[in-house]
Amino acid sequence: MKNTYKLGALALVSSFLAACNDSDNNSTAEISTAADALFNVQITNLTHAQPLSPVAVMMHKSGFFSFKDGETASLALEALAEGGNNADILSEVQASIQHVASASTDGPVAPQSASTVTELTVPADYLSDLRLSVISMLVHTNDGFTGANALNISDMAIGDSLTVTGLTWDSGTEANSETASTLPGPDFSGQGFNVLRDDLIDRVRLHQGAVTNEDTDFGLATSSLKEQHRFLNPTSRIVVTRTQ
Amino acid sequence: MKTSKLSQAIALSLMMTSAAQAVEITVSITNLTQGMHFTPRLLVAHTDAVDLFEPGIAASAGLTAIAEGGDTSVLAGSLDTSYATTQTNQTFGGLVEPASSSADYTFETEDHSYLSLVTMLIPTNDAFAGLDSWKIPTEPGTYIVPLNAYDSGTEANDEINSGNTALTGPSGVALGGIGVPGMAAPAPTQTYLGAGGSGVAIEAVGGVLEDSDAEGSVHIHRNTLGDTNPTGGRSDLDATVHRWLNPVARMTITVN
Repeated sequence: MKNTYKLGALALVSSFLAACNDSDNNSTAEISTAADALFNVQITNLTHAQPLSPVAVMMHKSGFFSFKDGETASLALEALAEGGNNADILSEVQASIQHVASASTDGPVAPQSASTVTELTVPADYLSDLRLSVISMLVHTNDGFTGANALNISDMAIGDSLTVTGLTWDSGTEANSETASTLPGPDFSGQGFNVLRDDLIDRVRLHQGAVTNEDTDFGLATSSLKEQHRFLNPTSRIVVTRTQ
Repeated sequence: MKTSKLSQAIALSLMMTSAAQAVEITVSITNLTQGMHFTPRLLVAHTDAVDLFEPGIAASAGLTAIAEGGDTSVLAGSLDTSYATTQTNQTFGGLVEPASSSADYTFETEDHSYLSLVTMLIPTNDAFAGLDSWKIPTEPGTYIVPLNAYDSGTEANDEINSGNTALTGPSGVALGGIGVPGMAAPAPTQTYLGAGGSGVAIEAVGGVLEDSDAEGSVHIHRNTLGDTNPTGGRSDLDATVHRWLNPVARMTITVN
């Protein structure tokens, strides 16, 4: 019964957060009690010239996945991977019974830089079965994203810190045409989300990298990407620290 | 009381010993690429006396047969002959498509400590995904292991479709076999494959691809290049389809 009550309270909190578009990352901390744990999450953009869209930082119980390798992307993932919009990905986890805490970073994360710290409050009852998912678009791609997928962060002690690196996925929802009109972000300002699914395979897998137009023999002449937009794995680093 | 406790402990250790002799694992593999098929997988549980491949060391004939032709029988045969008691192996499944997972395989390790796996990436000249002597945990649970793509170092990466009969290997030999230039690409791996390329790491001269076989030892694959000309250019691979970034696969291993 105690669990049911807490889950209900949590659902209220998350819907409150979802209702506040400019949600303050610290607002979850304000309702925390001494029994609650606090976690700081920070993501570093390891790429040369790929901005990362505002990062969805999500803590949940086991059994929840925002996506799975080899399976078709949800509409929410498509919106994030093509357009950098994390609202639906956050709504999706917040609506799930496994949701614990979640927030967006204040804004995008510039290449070669670290994000602001996102603080999440986790009731003590959830610490033994806790997963971290982090998702953010590589903005100068058609549908590439990085992050962590249901990383096990159960039973971290106060002061513990865990660092992982993020691979680069392709959501499988948009062809990697690399043309300016299909690439959002500061370098191109093209279209982000488009409901059309025209990729090779409509399933999530790892990204094959940017081809770019730089090579006469082996490049993609119609690409608008330049050599500086290339990347190798990993493209992000995620540090999670339990502070309380 | 002490005697009783001791006999309990002995009984317990006997139970644990017998349990350790029958370690069953369940394995599946997820193809994380968008353009490569995986050939049937050779899965081997072995002691430290056995090593399927080692970066920096030349590939065995058995590994070459897998990396160039997806044929696991040569390596399996030599393991069974030379390492009858220090390994057990089995070949699992058919092709695993891009962006998909294999079925679960249940495998009896016979209490060997290490696990290795090799599967060819098609279409390539001699790329394979490999698990290299992974220590099997004693604690039951599910473990996720990423696999990188290796180059067996046995064939130049010409990126030529072996279906192109206008070209041959040295002495007029047909392309695509083991020890022969060209990429064997059985259906359904030809979907995005072109033809008419002149070659990447080596180029055809007078209709002949001369492969010096001097690539060297096993190493991390430097990736394919491909191009966007399906009827000519240098490569018969497609630059927008057939490239990858490591890892290329993920193994899910459950120790029961």
